[in-house]
Amino acid sequence: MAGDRPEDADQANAQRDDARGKSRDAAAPSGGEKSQDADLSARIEAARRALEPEAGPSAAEKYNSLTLAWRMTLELVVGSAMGFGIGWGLDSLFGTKPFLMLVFGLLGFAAGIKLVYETAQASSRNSAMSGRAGGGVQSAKDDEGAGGA
Amino acid sequence: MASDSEGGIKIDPMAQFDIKPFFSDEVGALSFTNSTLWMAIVVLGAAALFFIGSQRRALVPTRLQSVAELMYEFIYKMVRDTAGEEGLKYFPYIFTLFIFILFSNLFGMIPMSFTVTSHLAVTALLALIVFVTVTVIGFMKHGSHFFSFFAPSGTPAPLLLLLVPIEVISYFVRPVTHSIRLGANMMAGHATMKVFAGFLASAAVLTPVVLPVMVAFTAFEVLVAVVQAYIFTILTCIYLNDALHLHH
Repeated sequence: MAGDRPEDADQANAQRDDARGKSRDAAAPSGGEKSQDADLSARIEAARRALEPEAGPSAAEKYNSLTLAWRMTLELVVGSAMGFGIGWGLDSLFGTKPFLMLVFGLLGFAAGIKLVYETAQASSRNSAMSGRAGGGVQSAKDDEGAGGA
Repeated sequence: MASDSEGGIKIDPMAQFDIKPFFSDEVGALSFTNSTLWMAIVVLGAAALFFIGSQRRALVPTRLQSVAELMYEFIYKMVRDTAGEEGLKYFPYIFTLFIFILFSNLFGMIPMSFTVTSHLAVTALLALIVFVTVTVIGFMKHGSHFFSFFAPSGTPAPLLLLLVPIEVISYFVRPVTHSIRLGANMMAGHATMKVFAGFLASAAVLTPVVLPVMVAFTAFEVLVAVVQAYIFTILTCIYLNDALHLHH
């Protein structure tokens, strides 16, 4: 169950190292030429961007499919349970035994679905971004932009 | 952990989570337990790293200073990227949280030690503090406008009747999953490790098979310890961002 996750992490690391190596290669030969200033600065910028992401966000998200599944399950279960709990409490307060329990149970289930949906959205945004460098950071910036709007 | 069960015939994977008071027979509200001891060790360890690490303030950092600086910068970037510039006000709190959880998780990997964060009581309190703090920040920043967080904009009034309870419930689900994720991960990992160690102790024939698995799993647990500290912290940042910028 857990065996394949460290492997994925290794892969992620290897990819990152690869990216670093490439960017260094790309930056090195252009160092001596002065005629292509714009080209050079563009390449330096590209290399800098490739070096930018540190271990953490993207790497952590990459090998985290197990954590993701676990998180979604938890959200669904806790959401439903909390809905039922609220309904049960209100029922015993008002004496309408099964009614509110059902209503709030369904509401809680819906809340769980909503959280799972949001989790899935966040992770798909992450994996779409991780083709480029720094998936986690990028999507976090997206979040911020959406929050500000 | 491993060294616990090697000598014994009886293997109890859950015994490592027992709370044992030191100076009294029963656990009371204020008794000094193994959990308290390890929390103190965690705090001292973290403080030592940063005090000693930052003492020389060398331009070319020593190894210890590098570690301290890297952690600081890593969390600083995380807070800024996730919660924005306004979130940086709360960086000391988030950094403290991260360091405490990280050190608890990693110190829990030391044989014979006690994993503070494997107890839901600890993680639930941490998550509850985050929950209350973030909610208070939301109300302080937006006043009653914070309630609009629970009503997605542009929803027709009849639908609000349905959506607001859903949003409120999902808001209250967050601290629960926040705490269970960390506590359960630490507990499950350590219990599994103990079970594997039990195989080693009880059936020496299995050693060639179980020992490599055990080694790999221990490495995996170190990974989990770091990742779970990271996840707890970034979720805190996300919740903080929601409260600061009202996501909807």
